[in-house]
Amino acid sequence: MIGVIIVTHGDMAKGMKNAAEMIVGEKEFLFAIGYHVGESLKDLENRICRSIDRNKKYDKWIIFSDMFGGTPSNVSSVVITQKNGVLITDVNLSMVLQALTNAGKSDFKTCIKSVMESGENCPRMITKEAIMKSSVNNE
Amino acid sequence: MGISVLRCDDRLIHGQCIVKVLNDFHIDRILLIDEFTASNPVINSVYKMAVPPNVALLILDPDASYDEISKAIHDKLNTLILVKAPEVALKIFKNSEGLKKEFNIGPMSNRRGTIKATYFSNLLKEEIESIEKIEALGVRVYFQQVPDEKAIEWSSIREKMLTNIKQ
Repeated sequence: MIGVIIVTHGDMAKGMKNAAEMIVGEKEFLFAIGYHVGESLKDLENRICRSIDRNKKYDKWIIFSDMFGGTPSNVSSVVITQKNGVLITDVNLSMVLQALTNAGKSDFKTCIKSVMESGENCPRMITKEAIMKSSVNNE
Repeated sequence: MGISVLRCDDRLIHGQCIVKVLNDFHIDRILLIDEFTASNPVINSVYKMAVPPNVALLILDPDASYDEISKAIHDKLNTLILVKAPEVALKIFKNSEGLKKEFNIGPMSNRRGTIKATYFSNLLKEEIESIEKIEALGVRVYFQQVPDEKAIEWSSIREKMLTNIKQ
């Protein structure tokens, strides 16, 4: 079974978990870990590893981080060299939702592929002009 | 040109460094001077991946770093020297001619035995002693996470910190 962890600066992970669960309902395989000022790299690494070790029923993990190159991302990179999983950086809500809806029903590779595809299609810029044009076309 | 900043930060390369420090100082090259990072292939590779492609990163053991520092002082690239312990900075100041006499301390994590220096910096007794030695060389020591934030001078918190380590 697939487990999912979101690791971010501050409370973004908690907020994303909350937002994602508003849409798809509570998921017991979703975990949120926030990195806070003053915490050491080792402490954060230990917290991520503990979440993985305590939940042995999940044998493959997707770790999401908020920003490539940031502390949550760097530490998660170290973690995936020790655990069974991948790190996907620069997460957004669509990617988390894609992971949550696929985790239970598809294999690991398919799940990751769908997450990456969903991420690659973001973001979009919506302008007033595009909306007006589209509304004229619809008339 | 030359060495733009000598910075102590126990997370070394991370969001603040990439988003603010590298851009604000127009850094072309980082000399990351840390024995542990230099000898750990996993961390080494994580940091090399994390740095933007237009910035060169050299990861060096302190003892092997002085030649590179001396070259960097005189060449045309803007260089950031990153260390994670004041002790290493002390060695650098002692072994390098022509370094700007300024030492920036960024975030230092809360570890066993640390004393809070600023809201983002926690220091061990040995680190405080190294900072004292650096200041005694005539170096301005200041705490600042990112360039546009107000700096906190070591001289303004020095007495409080020295009293705390005695207790």
